[in-house]
Amino acid sequence: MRKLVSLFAVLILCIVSAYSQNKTVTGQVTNTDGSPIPYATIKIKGENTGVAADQNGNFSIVVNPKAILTISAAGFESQDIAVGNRSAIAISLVSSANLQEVVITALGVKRNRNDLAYAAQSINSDAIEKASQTDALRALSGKIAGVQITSSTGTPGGASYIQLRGANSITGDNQPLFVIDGVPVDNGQNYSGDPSDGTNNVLFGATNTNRGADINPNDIESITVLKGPAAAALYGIGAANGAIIITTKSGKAGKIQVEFNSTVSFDKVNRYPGIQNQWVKGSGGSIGTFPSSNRYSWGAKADTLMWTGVPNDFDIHGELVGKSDPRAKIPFTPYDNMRNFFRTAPSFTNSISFSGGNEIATYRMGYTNLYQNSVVPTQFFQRNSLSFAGSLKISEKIKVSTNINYTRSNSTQPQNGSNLSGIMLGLTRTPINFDNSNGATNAEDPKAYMFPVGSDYAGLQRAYRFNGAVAIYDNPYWTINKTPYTTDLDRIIGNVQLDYNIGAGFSALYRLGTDIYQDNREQYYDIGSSAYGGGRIFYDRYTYKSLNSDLILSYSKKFSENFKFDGKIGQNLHSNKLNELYTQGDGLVASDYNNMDNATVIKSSNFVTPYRRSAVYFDLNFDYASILFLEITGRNDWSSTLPADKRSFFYPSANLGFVFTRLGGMQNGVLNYGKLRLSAAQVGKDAPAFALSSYYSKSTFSDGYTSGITYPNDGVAGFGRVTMLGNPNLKPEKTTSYEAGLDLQFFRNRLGLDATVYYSKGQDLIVTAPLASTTGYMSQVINSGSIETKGIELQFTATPVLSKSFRWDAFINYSSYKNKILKLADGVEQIDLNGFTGTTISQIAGYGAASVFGYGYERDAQGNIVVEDAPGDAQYYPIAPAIQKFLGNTNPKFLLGFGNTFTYKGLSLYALFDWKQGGVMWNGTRGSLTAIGTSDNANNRGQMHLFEGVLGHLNDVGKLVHYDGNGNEVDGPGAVNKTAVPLSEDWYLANGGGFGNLNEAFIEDASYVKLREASVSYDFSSVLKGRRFLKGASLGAFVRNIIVWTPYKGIDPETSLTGATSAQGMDYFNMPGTSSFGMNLKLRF
Amino acid sequence: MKYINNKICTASLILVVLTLFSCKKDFFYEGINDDPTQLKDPTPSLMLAPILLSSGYEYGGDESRFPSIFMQQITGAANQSFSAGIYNISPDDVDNMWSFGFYGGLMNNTYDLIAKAEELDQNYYHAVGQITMANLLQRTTDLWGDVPYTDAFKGNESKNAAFDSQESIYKQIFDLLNAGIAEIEAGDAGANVPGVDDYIYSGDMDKWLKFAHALKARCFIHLTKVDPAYYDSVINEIPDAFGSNDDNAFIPFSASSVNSENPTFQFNDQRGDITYDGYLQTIMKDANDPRVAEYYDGDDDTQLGSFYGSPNSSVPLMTFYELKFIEAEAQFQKGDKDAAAAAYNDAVKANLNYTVGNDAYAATVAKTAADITLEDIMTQKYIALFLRSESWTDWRRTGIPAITPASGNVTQGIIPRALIYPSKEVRYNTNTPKDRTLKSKVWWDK
Repeated sequence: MRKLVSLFAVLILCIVSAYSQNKTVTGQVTNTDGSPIPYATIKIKGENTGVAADQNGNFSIVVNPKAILTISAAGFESQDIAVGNRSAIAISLVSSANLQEVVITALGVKRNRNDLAYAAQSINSDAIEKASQTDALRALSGKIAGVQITSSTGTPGGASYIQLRGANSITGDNQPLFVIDGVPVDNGQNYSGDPSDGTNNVLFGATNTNRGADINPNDIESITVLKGPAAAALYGIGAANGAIIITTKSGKAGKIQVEFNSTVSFDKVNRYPGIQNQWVKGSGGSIGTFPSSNRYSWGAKADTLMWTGVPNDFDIHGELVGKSDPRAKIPFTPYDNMRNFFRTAPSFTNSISFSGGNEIATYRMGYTNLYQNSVVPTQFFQRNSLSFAGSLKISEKIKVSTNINYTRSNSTQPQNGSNLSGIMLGLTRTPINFDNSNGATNAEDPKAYMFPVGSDYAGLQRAYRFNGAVAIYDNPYWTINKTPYTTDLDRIIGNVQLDYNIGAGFSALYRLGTDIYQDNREQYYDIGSSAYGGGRIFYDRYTYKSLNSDLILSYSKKFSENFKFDGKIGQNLHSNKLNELYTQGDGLVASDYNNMDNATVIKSSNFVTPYRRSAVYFDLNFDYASILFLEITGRNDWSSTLPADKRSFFYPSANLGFVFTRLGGMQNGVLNYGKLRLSAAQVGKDAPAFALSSYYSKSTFSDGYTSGITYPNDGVAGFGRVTMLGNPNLKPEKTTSYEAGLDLQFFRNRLGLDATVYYSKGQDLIVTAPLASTTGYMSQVINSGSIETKGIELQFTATPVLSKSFRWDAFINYSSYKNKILKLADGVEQIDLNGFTGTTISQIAGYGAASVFGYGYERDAQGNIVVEDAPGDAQYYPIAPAIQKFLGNTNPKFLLGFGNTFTYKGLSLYALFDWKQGGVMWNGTRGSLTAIGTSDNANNRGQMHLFEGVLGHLNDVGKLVHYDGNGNEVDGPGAVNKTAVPLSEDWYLANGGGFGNLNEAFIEDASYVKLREASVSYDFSSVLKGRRFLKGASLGAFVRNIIVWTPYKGIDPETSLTGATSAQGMDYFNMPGTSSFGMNLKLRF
Repeated sequence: MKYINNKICTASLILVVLTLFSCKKDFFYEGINDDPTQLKDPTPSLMLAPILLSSGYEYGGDESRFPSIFMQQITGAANQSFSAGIYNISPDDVDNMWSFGFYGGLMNNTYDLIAKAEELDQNYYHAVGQITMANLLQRTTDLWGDVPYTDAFKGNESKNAAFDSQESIYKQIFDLLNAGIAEIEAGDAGANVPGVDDYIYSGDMDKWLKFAHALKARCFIHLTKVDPAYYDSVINEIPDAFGSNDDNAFIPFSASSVNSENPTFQFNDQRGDITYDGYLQTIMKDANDPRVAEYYDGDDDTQLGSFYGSPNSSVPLMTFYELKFIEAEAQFQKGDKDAAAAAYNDAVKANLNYTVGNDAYAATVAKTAADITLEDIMTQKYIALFLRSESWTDWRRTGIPAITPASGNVTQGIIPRALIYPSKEVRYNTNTPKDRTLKSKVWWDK
């Protein structure tokens, strides 16, 4: 390695900058038929300066005679011209008849988009940075057809889930492969928390990010999305769900360029759940006293109450009493705990980069600091990114290049979900007569969350649900001060690439890449926390190391004027290892002592998961007269997770592209380009690690309600069955897909349409199939699943107005898919991905992937809700059979992104609307708060309500029957219900609320239309023309997510409790989404 | 600028690459897909401790809550516990107990322990395994009736395990207990003997013998509604079973960390969905029973007292006082009221000594052959077996105490007589009986 380091040291020192006399050159840009081409761009190659031609194609530019001009215009092939001694140049451009868009495809190969016979779409750095998104993934939303991004939370550092064309896998990951500069990188979401709680940690822990968030958007040159398996066939296993190909910025030959970019923005919560402000703590309409473990807001009506004015531990305004009480003194006004808690949070991004080089060597170095405050007080996310890219021509034949990105991020993350310390849970359940802040204005003031010295409860946690000894839910101010969860990550992603031009059409490429990170998480629960009264501390350290090697031999030959061949064979080795070291300490002895030495009982676990894969592959391309393109690929993988005799598997793909407009007579003034695409591909996938054998591990045991017991326990060791039954007969799964597409360009590329339809079907899918526990096991990984997906993607691009000073560009990305689980496993109709008792996100045979399954209404054959007819307290309320059924599909009906950019001289105005239609969400927050009594859903309490439906009940064997006039049970439903009943506290505490057995009431449409991004910016380049020092500048303002239209009755419906996992569609006290406002300044020297 | 020396550069790069990939092991080395975190073959000793502790955790956890709520020993105040209080129970509510508890956590491991002990010639572990299996099977069948056993724990061999009738399950239970007893009586310890891994008796096999007989007595009394001849079987077991509170089978818990704590404490600490008032508290207060001070929190009688509700409270799996109540019932039904009264008085004293620390109150409720009734026996047993699922079994057999169905119940006024089958079993085992409700009666309850 030292050799390499010295190489680049030499490279950096050897930057040559040329200097000589400039002169003015004029010219005209015309079409091959002699007609002028308006508004062509004339740029000096290697620099960012240039001019635009006028309406008649005339231009004038000041250049160095050694300079090379690049002339480009929409709809024409661009052309390079050396200036030389000339002072006037006539340029004739050839109609490109296509888009000269270069995309980076599999293996890091640059291809012209026209030559591709499958769907690939890319965006460049301008589009990524347009609204200063701090997470590169979130910057994709709405900009590429078929890509669905879900920001799980508005908390900085929160996870984003990405899915292309829906789900392909049943119990495995459905996210695409991430590739940076040719090297696959990890985008996992690692969980933290007691490993004995397993994946449940995502339901109730602090929010965790996906590792894709480590990528600095400012270092990205372009992102290409390869959507189908056809596009990704060459990346193999990891790319079965498509691939996100990220290319980082690199230096270009030319003078040294310095860019400085500074952004400041402010985040605010964009939507709050609906909370009532009319009833205080208590049950049965009476005032709940403090202290008590009562958690309900079914107390007295606020407008009948007054404070006594005698401050106590629970309220600075004193006790609440009825208005007629002699102690009544101050009129009661409800506290707004939720809105008082969150803050407007400033974020800062500053980045600087240096780049330049010459014909032999180029370089770019960048540094970015992001400091993002969270809307949750005291919480933040910080990321420092350092990047280096360099290339060096060692000889005419050999080029070496490298990209290295180092990221260091640290953050504090809020407690989320079903969690006694959960921030949203605490805030929204707090009754309106308890002020969590206790009047404190500083979120760190202990007065809010601790009883003061001198109080009866001195030293204990101050919370609304406090029983006199312990707080049962944490006060959110306690949570942010006393239960911090911090993350601290270092990551290096880099590669070295050697290109060797062997000659005679042969060339070789060797690329060695690595992705290494260490993520240190720490969670501290101080003594007195609800979840762990005795305190708990854990350290969770994830170390990931990967090495990826590719050797590719290429051969290209033009056999005749019309027939070209380009072929590649390659070999790949990939190895990675994830190592989690978890140490947990319990029984803390001192408060405010966040260190493992505080613990009296310590346990530790080390989880190591090695993975290796090797592959050989080929990619053959035939081009006939740029009319017909044929590509054939094949790849054979060997994976470490499969049995040795089934380790090897092969899968092919074939693509055909037909540019029919190149046939004589097809091209005309309206349609200038047209291509038909067809492709068929197969992609294989291996198994999760360690699925072949059965094991025993340190015992854990819980009853589903409590933490349970773990081993070693009080000094005694214990092992028990891991309830996954090994399957020594696993084989790889395969997904076959077919795709057809049409690319059309009209009016010299002013209007474009790119349409794709596809169908894919997976078979022998590897499924973690559940087993009845009476087998002695709970699950087994088997080859049994099948899922099919059909979809369509449409991309419209248009430039409706184009004049010298004004330009309007617009795009629409539309996508829609439908998937269906054809089979799970023999005898298995449902596999739960995640969820709670009663409501789960499940794979259900015959339904769309990741459906909501839960307790619904009992209905008769006509779909009428059955209302209880048996006399008693439950009579005339809907019956709740508590049998899970399909309640909704979480997949959207369609996604639509609509973007517009208006440019007038240096001024640019941009807006992107993002529409997700359909897809349901379980609003568990609303259900829970309805039972607790704080939701505005229960504002109709006490009113009479007629439950529409038919009368009946279920008999002893679960059949729908009703009573006839004589009280005898008769089959089927009875008469229509006509009796109204009160919407009582009892009803909402039972089946009317989220803790009962009618979850169907809280399944909601999570459609939305968002003003995703909008910005206005002014480019000062024209003003700065000719300046020696400052060469470019732009100033802009932007907003994100400021408008959200949605029928959803909670927070921003773009949310996911489980973060970046396949179990999308759950909202249970998720952290709310945010809107942002900001300013951005870019300077170029 | 000149190019750097071509050959040196290429050579050094190749060197770097070779170094990085030249490792000693094969690329797919042996064991690459073996989980290094997990163990492939534990000893019976490593398995026994968690089985016993988990068994106690279940007995004091979920398994205690549903029956105690039905029996109005405690009150479901919120969430699922509230629903249980109005008999509004879903198949999911009882799934943890079955899937992660009895079958996926307890009996499957016990099954392995028995097999491993047999293989390794560890006779005492084998006996302890069989007694433990019998105890778990009895608890499972009393909650659900027909349950899988002969077909169970066999992985792929039997994905849809048949449900054995409760009658045959009870036969299996007696077979297991008799086999365990015979093995201990044979006196051949085998290769290894239980020690610190035996939370109950620390390897004292005489006590395991008594425990096995006590369990037999409990099982026989369960069957007396089917056939009164079992009263004799009960009486036969008594001399060989527990002789005093010293023989009690307790599972100890510890306050050292959250994950060592007593299950009832964990539930109250982490969930708080239950209050401890109810019919039981009312009758105890009416009787000025001194156990009120032990059972309930002195400051707030809706909260559990420290005796059963501390982090380090033990969970009794089977006790001398339970045995004495069983004996009293059997003797009473056989017509020997002297023996019944004696056993009853011993039982009350034993429980008072255990809970309050003295048996002064026993005189207040003491009975003689002249005035003892079945109601006395079963009511005092109901008080003594606070938080234990046996109370529900007793009520189903005898109808004592005569509690009234909870108001707002959704079962048309019927107090549950069995649990419904859990959701995962219904979904993944096609042999699961379909027509079960909370109103269905198990075989011994017919």
